[in-house]
Amino acid sequence: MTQNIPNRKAALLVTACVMLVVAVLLSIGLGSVRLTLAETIETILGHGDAASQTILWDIRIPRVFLALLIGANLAASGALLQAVMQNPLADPGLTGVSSGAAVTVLFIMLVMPDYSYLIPLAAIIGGGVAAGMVYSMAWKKQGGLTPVRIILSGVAVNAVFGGAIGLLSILYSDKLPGALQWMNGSLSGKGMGDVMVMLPYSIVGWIAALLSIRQANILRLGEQVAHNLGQNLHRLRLSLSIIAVYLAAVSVSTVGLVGFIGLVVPHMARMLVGSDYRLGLPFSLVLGSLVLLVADSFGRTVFAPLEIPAGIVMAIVGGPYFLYLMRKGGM
Amino acid sequence: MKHAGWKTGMIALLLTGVVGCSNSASPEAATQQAATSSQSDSSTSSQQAVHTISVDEKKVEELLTQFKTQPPTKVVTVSVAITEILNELGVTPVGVPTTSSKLPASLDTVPRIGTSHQPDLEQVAKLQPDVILGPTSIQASIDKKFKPAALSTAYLPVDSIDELKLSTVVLGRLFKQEEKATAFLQSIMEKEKTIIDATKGKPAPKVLFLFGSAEALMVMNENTFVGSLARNLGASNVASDVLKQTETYVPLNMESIVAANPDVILLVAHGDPSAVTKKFEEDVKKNGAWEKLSAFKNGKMKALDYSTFGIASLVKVPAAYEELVNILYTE
Repeated sequence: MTQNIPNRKAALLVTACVMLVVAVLLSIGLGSVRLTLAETIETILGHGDAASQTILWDIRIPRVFLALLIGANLAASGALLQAVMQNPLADPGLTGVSSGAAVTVLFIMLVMPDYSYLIPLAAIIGGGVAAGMVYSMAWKKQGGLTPVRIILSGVAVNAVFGGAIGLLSILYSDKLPGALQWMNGSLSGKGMGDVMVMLPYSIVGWIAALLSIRQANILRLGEQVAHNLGQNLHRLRLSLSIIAVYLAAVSVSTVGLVGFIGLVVPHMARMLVGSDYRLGLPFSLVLGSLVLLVADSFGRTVFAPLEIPAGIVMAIVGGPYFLYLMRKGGM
Repeated sequence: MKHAGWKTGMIALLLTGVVGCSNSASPEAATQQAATSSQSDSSTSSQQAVHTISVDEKKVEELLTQFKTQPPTKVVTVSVAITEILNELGVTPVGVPTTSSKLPASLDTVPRIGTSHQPDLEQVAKLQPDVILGPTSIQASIDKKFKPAALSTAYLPVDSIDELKLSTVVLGRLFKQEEKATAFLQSIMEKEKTIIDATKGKPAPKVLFLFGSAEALMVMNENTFVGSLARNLGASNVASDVLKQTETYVPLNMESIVAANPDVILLVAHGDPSAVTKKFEEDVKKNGAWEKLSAFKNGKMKALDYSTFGIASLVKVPAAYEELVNILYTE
């Protein structure tokens, strides 16, 4: 626990930060409308024409920032849950957050479309209620919270909500196309307003996550270690889960269900910098931002004017890279 | 968390622009006469009967209130039907949708801005339009996309023939092209009247309209383009009359269709119509009850030409009527 972080791994974190900055600059420069470097710089300095101003400030830059926030949130959420469950396959979806949010959001979109301004609130409530169900079902007086019970009750609660999603989709299939975009998790159509709403919530979540690195490390090392350190395992699991659920819920409320990132990024971090969360969690935050930003920028430029949702790009591009790391790292 | 969600909701509420209420009300029979200035003193008119274009004046006023600048100078359309109407009025948009349907040749040089369902926000913003014109039917799903760029949008109903006429009157008034609008509508209605008169007194067949692909078929009621044409021809739409279907599109339910027993079944298929028809016929053969259907016994199960019926189009109304009469009223 107290060994120092080797320089090589710290260098990796710095490299990732540099790559993130490069990716941000590239993403701002790329889009379906070609702007020259000079035009871009002029516009950012406030001298561009009205069209360029709109394209950069209202469309492109908000999306870039939102990708950074959401990517970090989901990656951190996944990293914490993998520590809680002591299971590398845990992802934010397991807690019921995504399916719970999907039910309430779909209900509003399909049944009460006039109330669509309530969607972020509905997602938080739906996600929170579903996660609450998962954890209260998993909790036992004797034995508190165990990973296997959280996972089982997560599977069951997800099945129930999944059924409700299916039911809504069939009953209102004529209105479904509008809701599909949300279901696939897309950053399109988001503005600076969404970023401003998301920013404070994300920062609170990141601070909470970074403050719980020590607890995550204890959990990771197993029950025996925790006992020896005199830690209450169940309380640790619950507090880390609350942070993870919070991070996932605020993300889902804004951009819908972006899959894959919460599962895979913490893994990549583990393979690149090892399993110590002191470096692993900050690295997950940076890597999550980087991966989602690259995926979203790729999706909005490669087939322009058609847009590919970030989730799909991540699966197609991120999947093979993940497999490569797995073979190389010998998991 | 609850508190956080509440705040998110409030902010989202503030951010949400005022979205006009979309109504998919059935096209009312005209109650009031539109005061269209029909100064048709062209010597070419060999027609005795001049139809007054009758539309619901209240709806016209309501739709016109969406436009901040009247008449707008730079328009982007995300609807083929609206693009066609504008073309008839001599109005050239600065951006038109990417579509597989044929747009008027005069628009070949006009920039394409992505499909109706997936407009490319950057391309639209680059054109700096005064207004984006879209179809009411997909307002819920695309209006969100334009929000970040603070572009002004307006939506017109363009599904049924009555809605197309209403929107033509609205656009004629908006662009100060009322004479052209009236002349255009009159020429369409001339042909319409001739065709409808020819079918008077003939027994009204019961029709079922299906839309979709081989995998998923939807039943269309009489508020759809082809449904509204059939209704004007005196046919009875089983979806509206027998099944009391109020939704425009509903997934196909074999049993209720068998119970309704239509005389004619028509498919509007995107993709390969012959493949869809074949698949449909196979399903029919598998399902014993279908052989008892009148439509099947009469050999009145046909795929309609997608280029004529797939997208609502006022220009194609005469051709569409002709084709329907051939199917519905010939033994």
